[in-house]
Amino acid sequence: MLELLPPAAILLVGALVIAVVPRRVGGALMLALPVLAFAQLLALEPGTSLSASFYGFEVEPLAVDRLSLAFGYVFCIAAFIAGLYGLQVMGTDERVAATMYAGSALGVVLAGDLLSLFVFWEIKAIGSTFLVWARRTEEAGRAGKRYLYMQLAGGKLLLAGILWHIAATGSIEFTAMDPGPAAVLMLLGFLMAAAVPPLHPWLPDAYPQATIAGTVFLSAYTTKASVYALARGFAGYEILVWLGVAMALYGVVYAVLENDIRRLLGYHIISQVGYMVAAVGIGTEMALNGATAHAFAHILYKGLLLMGAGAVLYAVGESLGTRLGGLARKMKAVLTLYMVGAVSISGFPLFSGFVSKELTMEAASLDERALVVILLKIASVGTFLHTGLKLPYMVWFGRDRGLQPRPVPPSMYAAMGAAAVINFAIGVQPWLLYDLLPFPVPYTPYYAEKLVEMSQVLLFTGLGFLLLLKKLAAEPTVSLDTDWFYRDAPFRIAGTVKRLRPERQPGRAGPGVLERFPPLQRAPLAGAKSPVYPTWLLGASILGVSVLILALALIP
Amino acid sequence: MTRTRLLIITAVLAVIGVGLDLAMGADPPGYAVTVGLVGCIGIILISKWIGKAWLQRPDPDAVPEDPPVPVPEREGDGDA
Repeated sequence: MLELLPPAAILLVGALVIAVVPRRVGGALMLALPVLAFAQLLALEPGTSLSASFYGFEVEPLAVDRLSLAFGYVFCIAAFIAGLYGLQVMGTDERVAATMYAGSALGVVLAGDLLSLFVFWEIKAIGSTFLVWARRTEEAGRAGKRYLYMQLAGGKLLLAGILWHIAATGSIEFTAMDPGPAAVLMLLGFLMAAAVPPLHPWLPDAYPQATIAGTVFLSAYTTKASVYALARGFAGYEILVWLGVAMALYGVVYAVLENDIRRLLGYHIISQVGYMVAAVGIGTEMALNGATAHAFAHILYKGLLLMGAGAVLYAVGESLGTRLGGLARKMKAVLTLYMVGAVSISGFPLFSGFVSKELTMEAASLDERALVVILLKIASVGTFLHTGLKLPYMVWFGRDRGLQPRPVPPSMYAAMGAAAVINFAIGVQPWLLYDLLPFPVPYTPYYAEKLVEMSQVLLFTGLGFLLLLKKLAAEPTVSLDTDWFYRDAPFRIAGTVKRLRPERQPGRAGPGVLERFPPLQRAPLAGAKSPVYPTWLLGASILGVSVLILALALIP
Repeated sequence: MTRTRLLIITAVLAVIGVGLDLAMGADPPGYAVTVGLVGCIGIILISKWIGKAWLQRPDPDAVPEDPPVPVPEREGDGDA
């Protein structure tokens, strides 16, 4: 029976244990649990499943195939590395949330049916929200609240689609979905969690507000679990190709404008997930391999980039480009490790991004999609421009602002080092990654023409950067995004209505929009608390209710 | 390095790149040079234009010590 133990259960039960054990033991568990889950995954053969009867449905909380294994492996690696990164800075509540989040994401990719997937999906939303709130700042409180609303909205779309699907087919099996209303609802739920514009603003809003280690966890799971779900249920949907291309370019445009280094990297998550979504839309075996490989590599190099940015934030307490600069000589090791992530994401030969991104490009090329290839290649140029050139210039090589960084904990260096080694290992030995992919890979990324092409693209991107260096100077601005529609528009509408409406008779007219919906009100001054401010009592209450609802749902 | 020199170096390297493509039979020659250079410049200019026209707003949390980061003037700037 033990051989059928779901790896997700190891992390989810472990999260509860972390909540009650001393902090030092909790830290050790943060590292041990992903290792145990990884070992359990290694013991599971494709085709293994665990099923049970639930209200007349045959649910499969564990169903293993090569696609789920590939995502499962990297989810465990990410949990270990992010846990190591946060070993000396994470509090107990943060560890509980992070482990619960990682476990539920693992549950999503190992779920064999739609009901199991939905339960894990919702736990994932709750765990990740607490990771945002764990920073305990006013901004994080508000961003976490908006994040929760968006995740729950996506979850409800998913649930509506699942129920519709069950009503129409009587099946809860999670397999390739036929187009129809149920598929559209489910697709919208997955697209929202994949941060596909215009459903994406929760990502650049919430991720930079999370704790330093929390952002590393967040970058690994939500969007990639969605890519997995899209690959399993919606491969070959043509609309995904163009949504993916739009994502890849959208993130790049916003990254040019961004001043906050963690938000800049957040926009680049959107851009990189675009490659995966486009590959899923292409839908061939090579493309699905590309989506999986890129998700795998992306978790590793994006984690490394966010760890580097987080180390800067930890050391100097700043993440705005306008307040950073001149740290190259003071944070050499962080710079070096960050640059490994930067060259990986930029697709430099010998690093992971090259072997994963080129798989997607090759799939698009073989499918005779020249425009898709060109647009994704241009997005790739933007990736190098921002993560490999603009951000390092802003943070490490810009004007020295006299910042005196405090020492970065050794565990952070160890985690970044581990991620850097894996990125390099995959780059020089692509089979390490290719052997994990769902289908055989008849492709080698290293041949002369490809190397020359990539080298030229990178070289001329660097020259373009130097030519327009002045235009890339950091500016103290924020950029409007589609969250304007729910963050600003209500106030503008309310303001307009108020101006147009005649003077109210005291005692006769009802309260205005803002008065009736306090959560919509913005705190007018710094220091004012958010309507849902993260407190221990609130967190414990929500967690308690969540556990109760889950327990009730599981009792037949 | 002056911008003029940078432009000259870019032009020389572009010629070498296209020549290399021709020698290796790349189709079309100059594809990578164009994607890299034009793509990079296009991304910066278009993004900045969109940003200035519609998207960028002053950061409400900015403090007076947050001016735009000045890029050191380079000798010969404006030569191009």
